[in-house]
Amino acid sequence: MTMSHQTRIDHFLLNKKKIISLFAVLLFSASLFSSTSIAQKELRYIKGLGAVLRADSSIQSKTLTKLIRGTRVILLETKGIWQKVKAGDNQGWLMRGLLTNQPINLKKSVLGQKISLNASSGRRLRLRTFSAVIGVKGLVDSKGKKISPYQTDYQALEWLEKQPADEEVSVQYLTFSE
Amino acid sequence: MLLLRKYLWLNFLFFSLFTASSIVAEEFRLRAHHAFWKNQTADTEKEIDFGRGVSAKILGKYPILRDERSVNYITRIGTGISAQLGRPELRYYFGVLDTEEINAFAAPGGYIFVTRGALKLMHNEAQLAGVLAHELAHIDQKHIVRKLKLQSIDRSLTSGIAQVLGGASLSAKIALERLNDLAFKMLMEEGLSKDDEADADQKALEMLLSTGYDLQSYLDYLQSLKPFLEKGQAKVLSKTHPTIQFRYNNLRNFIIKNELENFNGKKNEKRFQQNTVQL
Repeated sequence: MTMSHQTRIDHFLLNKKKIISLFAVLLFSASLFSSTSIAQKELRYIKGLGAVLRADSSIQSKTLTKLIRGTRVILLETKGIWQKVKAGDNQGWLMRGLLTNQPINLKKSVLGQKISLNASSGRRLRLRTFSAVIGVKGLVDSKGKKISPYQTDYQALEWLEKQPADEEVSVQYLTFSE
Repeated sequence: MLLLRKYLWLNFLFFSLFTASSIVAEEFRLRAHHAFWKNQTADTEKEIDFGRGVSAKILGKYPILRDERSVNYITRIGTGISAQLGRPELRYYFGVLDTEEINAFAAPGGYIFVTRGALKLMHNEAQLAGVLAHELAHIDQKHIVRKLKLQSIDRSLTSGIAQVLGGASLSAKIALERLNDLAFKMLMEEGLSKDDEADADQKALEMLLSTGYDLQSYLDYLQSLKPFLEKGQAKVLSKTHPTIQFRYNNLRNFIIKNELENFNGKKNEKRFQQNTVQL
């Protein structure tokens, strides 16, 4: 038995609607997906100890607030050396070079590891082993060629590495104007 | 309408499916992030190791000046700038080289040197800040690492360092020593590209702006180098950098383009003199 012409059209329309609604759901989900990835792209973090947020893209413009290291901001616009950002309720302009796209808490852990390496004797020990290896080899490679024609002074370097440098004190020191 | 209601369960199914997949995507992103940082930690350590080697060679050529007063002063200025604008994962060191030559150097990993000759040529703190900022920019932008092409197959600059310099074997040590020599030669003989120097100069001005220092002072310092370039006192500098006129014009254009002519920054002439008078 064959379907009447009308039922066939009904079936076709039903299928079409089904497909359309499927597509609608797909599109909706896809748009949700892409909007989150855009948000991730524009997310930035303040990398310095204190970044001045200004009302306008000019160095003479008035200061709105100071953003501390690690503050999450949304980058809205870039104009020359200025970047427009949204930080919480504040919206204003920062100078270029104050933002990073990596969260700062993770960077800090890197800094911590570096300090512990410096503090422990392990690092220097490794260095000494290294110089010892070069020393045994008499600064020559397997073909008898000198490895490095240049002199080194690791003692001077270690003296330099012992000089104090406090970030907050230094930033404060920089704010002074005669 | 009836149809929508009929297929409501299907809508729900898809919605939950996509929510689940985006959670998985987020999880994946976080994992990738941690993997990236694990790499980054290794890379940063290698970059510091590499920079130490290059610095030790700089200090093998020029003796270090063990004058705590001026070194602490310069370290404060440099650390103040780097705390705001440098790479937060690095600790920066600022040393003075005891030579009449006029120059400043940046080794990878945060090691910056300025010569006694250069300090004697400066008149104020803004000029010192400008020179330190220029060197900071070289480290920030990894100019040396880029020029040595320490990159892996995936073209990420840093993960290459750990791969190239990571080995513990003697041949790896020799490779590291060779790379150190190449970087040292780049600083002393070949120099970086003209673009890298122009970039570092512009970034230096941006850092001066952010920290409130006078811009023209840095341009004046560049001009004051001119008479020393023909004499031997700035031979290395003139060999490794673009001409002063090129650098000056590049910065003038930058100032005009960004309407910074009227910016009145601090110079701190007295504080500079007090801390460097003994040099």
